Amino acid sequence: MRTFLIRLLIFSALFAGLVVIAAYKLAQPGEMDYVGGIVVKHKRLNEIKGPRLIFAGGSNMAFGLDSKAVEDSLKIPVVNLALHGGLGLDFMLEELKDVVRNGDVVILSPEYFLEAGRYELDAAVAAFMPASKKYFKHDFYTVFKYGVESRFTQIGYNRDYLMARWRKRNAPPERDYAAEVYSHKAFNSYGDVVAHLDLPSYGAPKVPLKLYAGYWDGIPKINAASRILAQRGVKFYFVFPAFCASSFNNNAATIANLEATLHRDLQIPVISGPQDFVYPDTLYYDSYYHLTKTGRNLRTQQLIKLVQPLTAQLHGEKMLLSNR
Amino acid sequence: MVFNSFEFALFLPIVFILYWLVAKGSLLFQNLVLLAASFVFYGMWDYRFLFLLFFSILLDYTSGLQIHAAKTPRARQWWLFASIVINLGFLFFFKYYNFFVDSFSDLLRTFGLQPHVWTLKIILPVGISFYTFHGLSYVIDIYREKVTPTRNFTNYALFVSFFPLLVAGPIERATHLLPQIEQPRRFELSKAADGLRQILWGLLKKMVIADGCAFYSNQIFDNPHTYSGSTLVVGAVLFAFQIYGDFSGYSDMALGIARLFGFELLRNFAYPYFSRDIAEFWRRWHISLSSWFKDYVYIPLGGSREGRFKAIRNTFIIFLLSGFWHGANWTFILWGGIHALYFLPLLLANRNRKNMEIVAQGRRLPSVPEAWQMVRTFALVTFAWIFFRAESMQEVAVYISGIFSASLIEMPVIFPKGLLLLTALFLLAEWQGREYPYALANLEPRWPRPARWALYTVLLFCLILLKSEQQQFIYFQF
Repeated sequence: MRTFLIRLLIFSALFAGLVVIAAYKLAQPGEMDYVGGIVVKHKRLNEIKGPRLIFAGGSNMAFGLDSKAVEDSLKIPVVNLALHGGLGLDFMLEELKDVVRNGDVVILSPEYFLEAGRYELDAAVAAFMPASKKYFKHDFYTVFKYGVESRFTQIGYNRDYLMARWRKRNAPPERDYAAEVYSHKAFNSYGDVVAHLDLPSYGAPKVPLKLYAGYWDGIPKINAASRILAQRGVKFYFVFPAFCASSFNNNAATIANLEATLHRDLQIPVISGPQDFVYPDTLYYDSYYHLTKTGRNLRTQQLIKLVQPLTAQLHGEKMLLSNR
Repeated sequence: MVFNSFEFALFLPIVFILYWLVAKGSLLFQNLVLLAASFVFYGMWDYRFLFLLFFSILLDYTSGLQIHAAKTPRARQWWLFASIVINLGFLFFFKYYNFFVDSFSDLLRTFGLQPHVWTLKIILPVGISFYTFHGLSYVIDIYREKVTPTRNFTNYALFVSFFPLLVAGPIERATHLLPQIEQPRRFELSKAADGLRQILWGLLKKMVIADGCAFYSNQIFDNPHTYSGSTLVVGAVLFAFQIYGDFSGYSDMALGIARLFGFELLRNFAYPYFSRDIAEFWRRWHISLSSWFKDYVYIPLGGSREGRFKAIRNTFIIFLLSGFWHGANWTFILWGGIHALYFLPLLLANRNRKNMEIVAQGRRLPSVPEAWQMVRTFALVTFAWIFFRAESMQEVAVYISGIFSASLIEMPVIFPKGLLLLTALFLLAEWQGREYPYALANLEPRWPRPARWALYTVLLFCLILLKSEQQQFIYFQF
């Protein structure tokens, strides 16, 4: 037994040493920098004194909204708080609970069947904005687990980086579009992603996405958050995400079931149908959810129509403020 | 908790230390440590089902003792009957209730009736098919007087719930595992090292091969109507390697973990894709289930002793039952039926026991006829996997009609060269190790320690660099 344990410890120590060396940070994926966009969003949230129209959710909303057009049309200050689906629904809801105030109107647009977030992304956000630590769980066990797993993940990033460099060795230097779009500099002052708007698009992926078909556990989470938001005098609404046509058609039955379930179980109004934001695959920049400039304009106009009737309350608040 | 999770990487060393260092020298204490660990392991799926597991253990433990103590054959039969009915009743309720209700209502609809369907939202307790079969084999073996029931409840509970085999087998027999539980165990360095090696090989099979293949096969099986015939063939082949890597990888891990605690579990896989005919395939695939059906269904029905007609009938029965065991869906039943059909020519020609020895034993390469036979058997098995993988009969129809279309001769849209190369290397490793229990089993003492350690390091880095997105073990749903 002793011999076994000693040998096992020696081997483990040698292997751990190799892992530490191989996990030296050479590169990181763009999304780790992209989530730094949270800073500009919170800056705008804090700058606006009165009630706000806040769009929340994942990257479908970050890429798919022209906040200025909404603001100009509805004459209400708009903040696009949506960032990345990978942060998880819990993160988004915690963030909302933290930032909303009386009179705000919140439009939530999570990606389909959005689940818990990826700790590495949540932690990356916290590197840009330490105050965001309260939006995700970071107990001792989670941090320890992430600490170990991130070493392994980093080795994979290093491999990808080195392979990409090796491939590019003899090729002429090309403009790195991905690095421009997936960066904390990709956002305008409203919180919209704008870096991709004038770049050539790749279209939605050729293989349609297959959605999970069970009961979405995000429903009770949204309901719980809605009660807290209601207590704070916030109006809270749900809209479906932008989604490419091929994947929508491929999951029509699942999405119809989800729509029925949302109308039955969700305790906040669902103000759009899922088909409202379905556009041809060519109007997507590089994923099932990220719209191009044209797609973004179409969606913004549809959102304006949907949100207009809901903002009477905000106008009332503004009148009240100006009368004071 | 799954074997390839961070949680399990913490759980296993803790149990190992408690078992060998804290409970050292006390058989009772060691068994209690394993029993507690098994309940924790299972409870982390869904603690509510611990009561079901405990009830199942209590039922079969009591039935076993009552059968043994019964004074009359009628009493023995009654206890056996009660145990079988209750065990299968639970299995039926949790796994098949909705299937029967749906199928019956579909049947009524074909006659123009509009039945009021009453289905339930039932969560399938993980591993129920496996631990139910453990319990049944114990009770039936006692009835047949092959086994004397244990009076030690801890030992019996551990026999059923031992965590390496609890959720996906191998399906153990009391004659094999119970004596090991009742005997004191001594730590053996070579056995423990071998266990770790087998765990490593199982992890590679699961995380690199199975999960890698799953990434592409899921895409293809999720959208069969969008792909050419040639791509659908690629999808079916990738699924064949996915399910093999997934299930045999799990079994390797289970056997390796059990070996760390001094146990030898039944072998579940013996290089099934190197089989030369379907009969050989079924002697090498999910061996513990095949032998269970043979011993508790096929032979009691008369096996092949009562003429050719009964042999064929019994073969169809066990294949259909085997299909049904896998899941409450007509696709599984048809999968079993197809294998029975494959078996039929071998039975009629009396050639089902032709290939009993290891292929190309003592040689590096197979002969041309052997290679052809292996390719042919693999193609048949892969075709049947389409039924197994598809979610409905409509999907099967779309998939198969897609394969047998003009687009079969087009270049496949999905053809992951890197993964296929990796799978070929994996097959090569399995081929060189086919005379041993698993591919790396012959490393010691042939390779010196530095070479072995270097290989382990390379394989661990392969795990880190080549692993794909984690997929649930396929057999957990059964």
